[in-house]
Amino acid sequence: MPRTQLLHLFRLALFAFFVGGAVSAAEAAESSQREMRLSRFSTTQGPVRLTDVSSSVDLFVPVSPLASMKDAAIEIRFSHSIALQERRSYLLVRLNDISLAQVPFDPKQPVASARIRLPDDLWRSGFNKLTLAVIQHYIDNCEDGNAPELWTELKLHESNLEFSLDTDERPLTLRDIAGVFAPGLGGSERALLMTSSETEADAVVADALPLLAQALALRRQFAPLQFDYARWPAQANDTALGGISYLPPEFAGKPHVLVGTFEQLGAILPGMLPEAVTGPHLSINRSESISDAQGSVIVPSSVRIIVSGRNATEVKEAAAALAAMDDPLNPIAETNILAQTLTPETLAPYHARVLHSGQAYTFAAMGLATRRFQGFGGHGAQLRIMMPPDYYTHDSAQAELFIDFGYGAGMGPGSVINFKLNGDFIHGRLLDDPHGTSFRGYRIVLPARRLMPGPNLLDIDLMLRPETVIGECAGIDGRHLTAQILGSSRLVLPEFGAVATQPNLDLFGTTAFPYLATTREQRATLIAGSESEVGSALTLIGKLAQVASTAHDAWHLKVGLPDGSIEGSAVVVASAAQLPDDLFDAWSIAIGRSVRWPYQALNDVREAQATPERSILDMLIRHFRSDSATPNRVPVLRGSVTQSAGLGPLGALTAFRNPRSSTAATLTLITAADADLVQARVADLVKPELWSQVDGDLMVWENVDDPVFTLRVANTFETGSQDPWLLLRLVLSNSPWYWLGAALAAALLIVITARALLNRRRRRLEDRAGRAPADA
Amino acid sequence: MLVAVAFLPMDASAQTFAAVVLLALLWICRVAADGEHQNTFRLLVLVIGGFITLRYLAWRGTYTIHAADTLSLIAVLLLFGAEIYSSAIHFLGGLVNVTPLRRPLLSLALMPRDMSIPTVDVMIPSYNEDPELLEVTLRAARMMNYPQGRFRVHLLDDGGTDDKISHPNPDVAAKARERRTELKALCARLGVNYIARAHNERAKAGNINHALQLTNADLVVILDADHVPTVEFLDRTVPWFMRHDDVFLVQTPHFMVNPDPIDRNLLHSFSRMPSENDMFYRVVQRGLDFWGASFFCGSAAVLRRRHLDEVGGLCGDTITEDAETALALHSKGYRSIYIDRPMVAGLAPETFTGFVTQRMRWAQGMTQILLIKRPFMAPGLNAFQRIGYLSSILFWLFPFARVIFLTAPLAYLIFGMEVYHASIAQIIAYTLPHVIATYIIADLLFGRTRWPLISELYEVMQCLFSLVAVFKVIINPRAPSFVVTPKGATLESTTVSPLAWPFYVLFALILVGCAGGLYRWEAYPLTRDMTTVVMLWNLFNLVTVLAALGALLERQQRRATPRIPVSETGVLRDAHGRTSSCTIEDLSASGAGLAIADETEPVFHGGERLTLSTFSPAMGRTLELPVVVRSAESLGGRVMLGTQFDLTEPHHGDEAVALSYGDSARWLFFQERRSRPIPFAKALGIMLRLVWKPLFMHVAVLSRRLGEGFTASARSGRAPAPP
Repeated sequence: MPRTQLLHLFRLALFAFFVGGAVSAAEAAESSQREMRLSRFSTTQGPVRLTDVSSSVDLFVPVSPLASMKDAAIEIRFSHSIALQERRSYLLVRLNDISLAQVPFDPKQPVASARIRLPDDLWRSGFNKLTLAVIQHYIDNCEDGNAPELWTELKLHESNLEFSLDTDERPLTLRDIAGVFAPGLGGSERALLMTSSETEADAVVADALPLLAQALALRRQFAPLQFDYARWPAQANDTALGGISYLPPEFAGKPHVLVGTFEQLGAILPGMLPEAVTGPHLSINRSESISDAQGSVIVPSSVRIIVSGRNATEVKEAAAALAAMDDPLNPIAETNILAQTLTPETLAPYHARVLHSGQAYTFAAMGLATRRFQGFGGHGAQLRIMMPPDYYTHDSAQAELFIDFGYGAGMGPGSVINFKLNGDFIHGRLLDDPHGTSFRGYRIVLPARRLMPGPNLLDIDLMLRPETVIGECAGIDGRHLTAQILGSSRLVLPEFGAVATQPNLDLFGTTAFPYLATTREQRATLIAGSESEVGSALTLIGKLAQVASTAHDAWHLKVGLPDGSIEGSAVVVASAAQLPDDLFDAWSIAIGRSVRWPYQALNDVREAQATPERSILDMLIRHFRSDSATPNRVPVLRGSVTQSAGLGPLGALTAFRNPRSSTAATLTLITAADADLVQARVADLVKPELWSQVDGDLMVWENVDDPVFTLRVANTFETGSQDPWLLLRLVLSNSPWYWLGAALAAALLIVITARALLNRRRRRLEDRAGRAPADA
Repeated sequence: MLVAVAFLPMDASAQTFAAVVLLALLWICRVAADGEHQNTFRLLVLVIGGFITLRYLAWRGTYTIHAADTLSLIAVLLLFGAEIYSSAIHFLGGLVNVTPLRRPLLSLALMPRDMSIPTVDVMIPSYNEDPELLEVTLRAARMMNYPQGRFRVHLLDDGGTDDKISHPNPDVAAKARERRTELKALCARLGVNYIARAHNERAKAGNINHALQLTNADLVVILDADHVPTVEFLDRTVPWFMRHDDVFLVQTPHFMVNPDPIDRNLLHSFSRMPSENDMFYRVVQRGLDFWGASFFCGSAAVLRRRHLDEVGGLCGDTITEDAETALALHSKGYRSIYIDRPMVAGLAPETFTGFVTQRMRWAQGMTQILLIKRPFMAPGLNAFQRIGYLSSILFWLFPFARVIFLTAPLAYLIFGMEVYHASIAQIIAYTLPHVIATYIIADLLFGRTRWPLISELYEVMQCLFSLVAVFKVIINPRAPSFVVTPKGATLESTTVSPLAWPFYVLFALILVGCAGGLYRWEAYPLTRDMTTVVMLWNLFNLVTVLAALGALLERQQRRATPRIPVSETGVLRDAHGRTSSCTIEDLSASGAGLAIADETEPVFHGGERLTLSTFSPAMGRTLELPVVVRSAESLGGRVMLGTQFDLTEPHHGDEAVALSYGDSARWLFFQERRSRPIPFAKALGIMLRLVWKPLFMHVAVLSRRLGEGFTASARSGRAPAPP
């Protein structure tokens, strides 16, 4: 299977794995034998139904490189058709393409289970492919391969994977950082970031911690990583026997990151040699375990990552290097960064993650290399098109797909290729040449506005069917069917600009907009209400880095809400009591010391958009009655109740126009009743099942199991700086009265001027006509 | 400022809203333009409508000009070029006709008595016209109200030149000799000066310039051989020269007394629908006059000899010597006057071939002026005169745009080339308002003189031939030679024009386009919106080409001299002195159609000689004209008598001409009666009703011709066998 396809499947499996809830490495390590439902490794909801003579499903089980699977087995429950032949129908189990078991089907017992041991030596670090396949027959001769009798249902939610994990105690190198925070079984879900308690450490906190949080979260891919933040004491505990303990007791034995200058680290790592830190410094090791006098371990050994330098700037550079680092290239325990370059200097790494205006990209460049499809049935490929989050273009712009594809001979009726963009059908073609054919640059034009800001999915679905043959027992199995999508296919994008309507939490959830930018000039401010919320704030921006698939080095962390201005867009993570009331003055919601709720009874919470003009009269009436500031021209019911009670157990995520910024900017606020609740709610929020529901401009939740409450209540505004022309288009499109007024004013001016000039000429002509010849 | 606003970006939905508001305003202004403050509202219509078109062009040019391949790009650019051209003509038309000028009617009687009345040479150039036709013109010219001895009529015969008489072909030479003799006798009989020159150099311009050398009057009247003046022609035109020394030209309209072939073959609306040239003579020339740019149209005009002498007589570098001469004299700072009163009645070409010949000459001549004289940079012209000339000349490049508009849908429907990149929403937001605004402006400017869809029909009929003609001029601007428009032709039976075949090809292509459109609609569901729009466009072209086919069916025409529909009273008296009142239904210089009540006594029979008494406003008295009854037929309770004038007595000839052609009030009444606007839907209905029957007639005529061919070959096959 091609690498890109595998990667895609891995991603899906990983997403499913974490939606289902992963077993943390800590949990796994602590208990000898664990059990997980197989459904956690599947992307499909409910049981998996396998039909036809032969079909299979692949489950991907991720395992951290620092852990090894022991004594694994699966217990699988399934049901199958009672029409299946006993001797010729069976379930096949493979691990990493090695067949392990064949379970025969008994038509007398259509509901059955089987337990299969998965040998330790077949497991490998990273993704392991567990294949469940069926071979099914219901008759010996003239069998219809698509007969409805041929089915087996795998009840994955009732099937389990049993396993235990062994942790690898070998000396660590920097390439093991990916293993420590691996998204699979054995990876850590939580990280403690520590800085010095000295005031000088504030600069480190402001610039290095956001980078570090993003760097570590990116190693977890889609999996959430919760951060905790603590300062090490100026004078660490010198335990009598074992060594120096600087970890808070609850984090003993847990992976942690020490961030500080060499001098600051000296307080807790007195043995660290000055020559080790000659610049931005990264290292990884295990802290020594500390035992009491009886030899009992009171502080177990733990993974320790050190991010250091001779000054705060170097610490930040070390964090940036960690964010950029490909771990497999660093089989060393420590390193000093000599230089980092990134040109052009104005661009941020996010620039490389999105597609750009007026450019053409091959599918291979976007991650879809040449794909071949073989055999009867449905096939598909998916291309992820990452548009900038502030992507906006005019309504005449067109994007073009130039597809290079082909299919082999012998296609029969019903063979088709369909293209869907974000689930919407855009093009289809019959594969109807019996001799097969190939196309180069098969052009599909689509309005550029069909592409959405952020990630877009282009699905290429193929159905391959053999030719129909008439006659008894006649039929072609379709193994000869083949089709191909080439990676040289291209997407040609029109010119577009960077304009967006804010606030938009949906865009925030899918692209991290407006906080991830393609340029370094755009600084993003992260404000934690106090040091207690720093961990939560870092957890959040770690998630944003995952969403954008890159770290943004322009984050600036501030502790404590400033009284003055907050320029530009900012994320505020604070408890409700820390939020000043003036922040909410211009908004119908307040989540501070008092709470103002726009209750549903007082608000029209339906998301309605202006329908296409039913009639010209209808359109005119709508526009004449309009409030030009809102795109929806129908008055919307709005109201609120202000209360003294707090948020209780709820967490709230909101976005609105930053009232303390002199420019149009967004303020995103995450809050809960107190710091602990903030941490708990943020930990829930970054989980895929909650994060995927981020929408509107207010979202309130309690935990992952309860329903999420979303609202769209804030007035929208437009932001954008790269293309004022497009910004003007957006403003005029929302308020065509401006355009119309200018047009009519200009028309009147011309008419008045022309009238005067024409009258003058007419008078002159009349005078001339009346003159005597002598005057002529 | 408006241009800047037109380019301001806005999405289609907002543009739709804006367009609806603008169109509503446009409509209100259009209605108000017929009431009080019409000048202001007229301007508003032009500015708002022009802005809608400008907005459309801004969108087209900014967002829709792209293509997948070079061929498509060429097609896209051609279509956009055609739209730019049409819009330019639209804007120029709006500017030129913003406020058409109506000159006051002057008369010699209103001139100071001490003012000297200029002498006039009336020149009637002729090439191959029938003497009968010339006789009418000459008689009418002689009868113009003007002080005796102050004007003289000249027949400039280019069909009887020395070159022709000594032509190497004895038949041609004999005919020329015969023509010269006949015309000399005619001129002698009528007291007209006959002038023939030695060589046929520089066609009509050379002919007139030759005559200018032999004459010396202050003013020169040019009348085409078929252009019959009313008695007041000189009385209304000469005073302008007396009042203004700097006037070099007084032009009057050409009023056609017969329908052109398109009207005759298809529309049958001669007395109900504005004539094709009404738009030019009733609006455009007046518009040009406001800007001092009305120009000489070759006939029905008076020119000052002194000014003509300054430019060496009529210019002859191009085959439209009239406009060229006017351009030369405007460049010298002299002025032209246009009087919107029909005082000359002429003949439109009877056949489509004649019509196309005439229009090709105009198209070629105007293109020559554009390329050789370059009026847009001619010294001495003011900016508005340049615009006026440019508008008049550029109009004749319409074949390029028209052919593109006809074929562009086919590029999409047959070959799948996307020549127009727009969604339905954008078509509603931009294209439709542009089309509606263009229609409203056309209605404002020309609504009374040109019915909707008629322009399209006339342009389609000419475009294929004019395109080739204009191309030839572009390749070699000095190549075209003057071709005389055939007039007074007759047709023994209904037949298909020999120029019909390109329209058959076009018709077939459009049908293929329709089939292609149906296929595309079925096979490509995703582009059905666009296919539907292009199909509608193609269907519009189909209707126009069908109408063109109808006009190509040349109807039977036996009468060389057209009868003019009139409604006047008279009295018929027979040899026994019995009288009967009658109504003159139609009239020409050779006869009249009379209607009398069915039960009236006496009963008149064919061949009977009668006397028709009727009042002639031109002569200012009752005329007594002997007539011979040629036909009598009962129709709708009346007896319709076809009569022929007995013109054996010379003065009866003059009286018949004066009766039929002498009164300009009749032309004015006729013109006013048919000057009426109709809504687009009605015009479309008329067109749809008209187009089908001729199609079947085409099939019938072609089948008949095919059958005759078979019969002829069968007869030749029955030739007697050798013994």
